[in-house]
Amino acid sequence: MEYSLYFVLEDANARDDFLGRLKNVLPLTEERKAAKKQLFLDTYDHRLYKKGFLLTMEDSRLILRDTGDGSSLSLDLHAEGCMPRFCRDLPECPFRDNLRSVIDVRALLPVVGIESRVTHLNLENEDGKTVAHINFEDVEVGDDGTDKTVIHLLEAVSVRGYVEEFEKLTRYISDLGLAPAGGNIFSIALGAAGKKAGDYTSKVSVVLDTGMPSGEALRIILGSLLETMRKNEDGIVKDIDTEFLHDFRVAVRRTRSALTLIRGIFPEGVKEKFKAEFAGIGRKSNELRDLDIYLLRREEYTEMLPPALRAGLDPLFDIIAREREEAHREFALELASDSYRRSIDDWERFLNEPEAPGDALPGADAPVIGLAKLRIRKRYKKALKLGKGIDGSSSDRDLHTLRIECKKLRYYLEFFESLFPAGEIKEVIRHLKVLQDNLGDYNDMHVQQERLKGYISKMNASENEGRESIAAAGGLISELYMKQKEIRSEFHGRFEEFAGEEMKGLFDNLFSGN
Amino acid sequence: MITLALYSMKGGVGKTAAAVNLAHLASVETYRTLICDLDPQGASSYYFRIKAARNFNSSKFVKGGRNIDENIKGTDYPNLDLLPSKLSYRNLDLALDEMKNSKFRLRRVFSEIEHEYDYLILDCPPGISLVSENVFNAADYIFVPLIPTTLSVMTYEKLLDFFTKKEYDVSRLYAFFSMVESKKSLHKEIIEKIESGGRNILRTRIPYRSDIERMGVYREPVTAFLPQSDSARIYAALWEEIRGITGKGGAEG
Repeated sequence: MEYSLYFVLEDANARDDFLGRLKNVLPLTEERKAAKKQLFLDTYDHRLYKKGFLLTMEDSRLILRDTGDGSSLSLDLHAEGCMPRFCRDLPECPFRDNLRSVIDVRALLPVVGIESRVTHLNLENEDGKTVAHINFEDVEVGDDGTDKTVIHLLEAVSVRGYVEEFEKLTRYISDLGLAPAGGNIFSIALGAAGKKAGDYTSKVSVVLDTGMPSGEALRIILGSLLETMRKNEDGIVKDIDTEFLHDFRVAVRRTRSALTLIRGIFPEGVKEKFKAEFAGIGRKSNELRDLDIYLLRREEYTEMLPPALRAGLDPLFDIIAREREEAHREFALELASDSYRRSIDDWERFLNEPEAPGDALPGADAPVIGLAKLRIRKRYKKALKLGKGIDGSSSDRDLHTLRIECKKLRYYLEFFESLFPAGEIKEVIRHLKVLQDNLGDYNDMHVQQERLKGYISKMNASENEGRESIAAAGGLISELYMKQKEIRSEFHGRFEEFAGEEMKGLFDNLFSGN
Repeated sequence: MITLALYSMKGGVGKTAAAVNLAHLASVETYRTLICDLDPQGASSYYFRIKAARNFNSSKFVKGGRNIDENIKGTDYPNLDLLPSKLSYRNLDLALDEMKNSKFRLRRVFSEIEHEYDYLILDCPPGISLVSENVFNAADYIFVPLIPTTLSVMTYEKLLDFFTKKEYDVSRLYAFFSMVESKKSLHKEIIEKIESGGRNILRTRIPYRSDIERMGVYREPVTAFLPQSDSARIYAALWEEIRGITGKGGAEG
């Protein structure tokens, strides 16, 4: 319930001058000086920042602040410089649980470091009670060794239960000519370092215009997906966490899906060439992603098994970990290979260069809204048709086909989201997601069972350890099979909701006409 | 949230001094702490220089909800908030009596803030009343400061009888000696007698000290304005004992 508001001062002189003026109008206590050094940590996609948290390392302490209510949790690591990378590296405690609920499996990275000299003053009332705090901060922003920027800030901090006094204080500050900086110390410091807080997202975040030519709109969508791929390459190679590969793969799949839109807009040869190349890139990363998922689920798998069978998982996971190392090495080499670089460079060149006059196809100039409505409609119809054909006798393959179709529909909706009223299209996506989750989980159970069957054949049944692992794998397969059946039994309910009148109404409303 | 009550049937035994210093010590160890002043005299509010809002009163307090949230005030110490009392708390019994399930009303009021704080410390008014019964139902542990005098010990025994009669769990009730003057032979005799026979008597004894009395002048906990003093050290020992009883460790994280 404590609020904090930052104001930016031009320089150190401005600070002294301002302090003098403030003291003339407000009863402020003596100044107290302090110094602090903070290293801000966050995930690559700034999950903490986006959810309103700040995580800092101060000496050997990790401090997690909730900027919403001013509360904080801290954890002493008792050793400087040993920065944890994952939640699982921390001891079991409420701090870890809180952190995990926000960052999940992502790694913590150092984002920006600051060294501040703080002059602290209190605003007191007639009883000598502190009713607000003022901090003047000279903040040096930058990592060790690189160029440092110094910024001068004034922070006004409220005390719980003294809202009026805080408002009076910030009014005084504004009246004396300072404007609020907006944001918190993390975003302000990042800004000073020339970066932007929370600027990475794995979502398709393009803003299109209904009248925009289709060719231009597709280039924007594809360009944004290419950027997502590029941004994640480094994290994959350095093996920072599993989500770099995940985001990369989603961008590749979305690209392939967007390429199915280009008929009549870009030359047919473009589609054929790049569809094949992106399919290849996706395929080469399948193995690594599958193995990542296994390793992430170790805890869950252990829980699934009765204690007596659990020891058999260790050799199994040893194999998976070794295979994963190898798969990672291979895919990192792939990303560094000439053929990959050439594909990506060619692709970028195509997206950036306007086509030669003879290449322009008539569809390129048509307004994108027509393309969006038509293609989404078609996908929806196809998904409905496939779904209606599914009954008790349908194979895993049929469900797989429907899953892929739903994915394509989802991607189209996301590409063109900005063309439609936000509330309604989000509602469509939400409904679709309910069905997709069911299909995704079903497929997941299938893939996991198949893989475990593969491991059984590799185990040596004549050794004790091998037998234990076979038992563990067998136990998991039957658990997964039971789960899969349960998921399958929920399919019809979910599909009916997707195929129901409400969705039909929404689709008609949003996507009819052109 | 763990709720601790500083309670005594008798007034002037050092309840507020203990409540204020213990709350401060908990907050220094980074436990999120709220001290709730239940005494219409508002001594603990006074020590923290906090006045309740003009429109706050005992009926609003027992209604709870937003009334609590809006009237909690931050003290001058990190992690330490206070819910100030009003003179109208002299009618707290009546206000409680009007509520359903009136003996458990405060427990209900406090349950709404249980995720916000690690410790809630109740500074209770003297006497035995509906307010006290609410305290006994709301608190996880009740600590009674005991001046080693015959009268004081008698009232404590009456409290024990009351607990037994009303079937409150006596094991949650603890006593500690307060305002002890080691030169007085009567104090010594009573302490020896009680300690040899009594259960749930804390080891730490709070002496009669002028610096504790002076809290009213400084309007700060003695653990804050004289942290190196003997008095502060004794409260720290008391806090350590109490924290141990509540099952929490020292200086979190």
